[in-house]
Amino acid sequence: MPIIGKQTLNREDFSLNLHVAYKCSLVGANLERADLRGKKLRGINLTAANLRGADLSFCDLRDATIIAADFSRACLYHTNFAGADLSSSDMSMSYGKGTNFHKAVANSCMFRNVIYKNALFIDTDLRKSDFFHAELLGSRFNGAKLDRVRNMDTAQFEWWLSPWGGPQEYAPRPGWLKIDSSMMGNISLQENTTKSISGKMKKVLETFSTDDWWKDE
Amino acid sequence: MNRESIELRIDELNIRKAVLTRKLRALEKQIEHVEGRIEEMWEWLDSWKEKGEYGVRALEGGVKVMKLPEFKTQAEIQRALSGEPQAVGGASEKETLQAREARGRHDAQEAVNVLSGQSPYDEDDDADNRQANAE
Repeated sequence: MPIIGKQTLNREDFSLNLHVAYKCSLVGANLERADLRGKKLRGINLTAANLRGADLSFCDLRDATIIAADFSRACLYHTNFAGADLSSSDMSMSYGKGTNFHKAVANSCMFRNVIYKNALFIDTDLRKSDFFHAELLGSRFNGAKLDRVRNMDTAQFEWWLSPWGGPQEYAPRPGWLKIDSSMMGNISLQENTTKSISGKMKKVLETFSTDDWWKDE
Repeated sequence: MNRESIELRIDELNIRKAVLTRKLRALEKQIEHVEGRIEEMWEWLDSWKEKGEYGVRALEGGVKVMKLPEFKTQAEIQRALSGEPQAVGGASEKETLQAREARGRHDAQEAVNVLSGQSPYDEDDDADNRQANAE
């Protein structure tokens, strides 16, 4: 039997406290740039909370109520939003590789300029949401409600890779390899930091060679 | 009842008629819209029966809802929902990370060599030199 301080709780009190803890409220909380990596926040109420730039990677937010919250620039890598209510939330410019929105309610959400590679929008309610210039390579939408979704035509679902290497293109090119899923699956590593850095350095040195400046003078 | 009161009553009834007519027109428009939606739904169902897919839905103003990528089988959905890391090419997350780090180190060394004016870094040459030194 759990004991809190001097008070001994019976089974009913304990279940009540558990229920309160399960549905605890952080309505309007200011969690800007908070580090919430791997936290188990299942069923939490974060309605109208400020989560700008917060790190929620590997966070468990299943069945949470997060209406009209601000997730701008947040890191949602592998965050689990299954069954959560995200109505009218702002996810602009957030990063969410492998984010799980299974059976979540995300209507009227703002997904502007997000990077959601290999995210799962399975059975998600996305009505009236805005996907302006969203990067959705490898994301899947089985059974999603998409009535009146806005700017989906500006979102990216496929990449074209050059056979000679180099950066990807978003428009189809003859002879180029089309990929519809991230090469790394839902794992996120530093894939862009060191990509062909030496080649870029060579080009920079060729362009701004000091020998050429000497010749001009 | 005098004449004035009767005239006032007629005016009042005329205004009521105008309001009801406006409401009726609005309701007629709504009925038309709902009939259009019903027709649209039947078209989608017919499309599903004939082609096996719902196709592209056209909205007002030339806007279209595009067909979004989906998993083809239920097994794929279950595997994705299990939340396990899905490295491509049969390599695990650890192996992929090691390969990335090795490539990053190689690229960084090459960049340093280029900046310092030395010859480009070659991993094979480096390995040969190390072997020769060890011997």
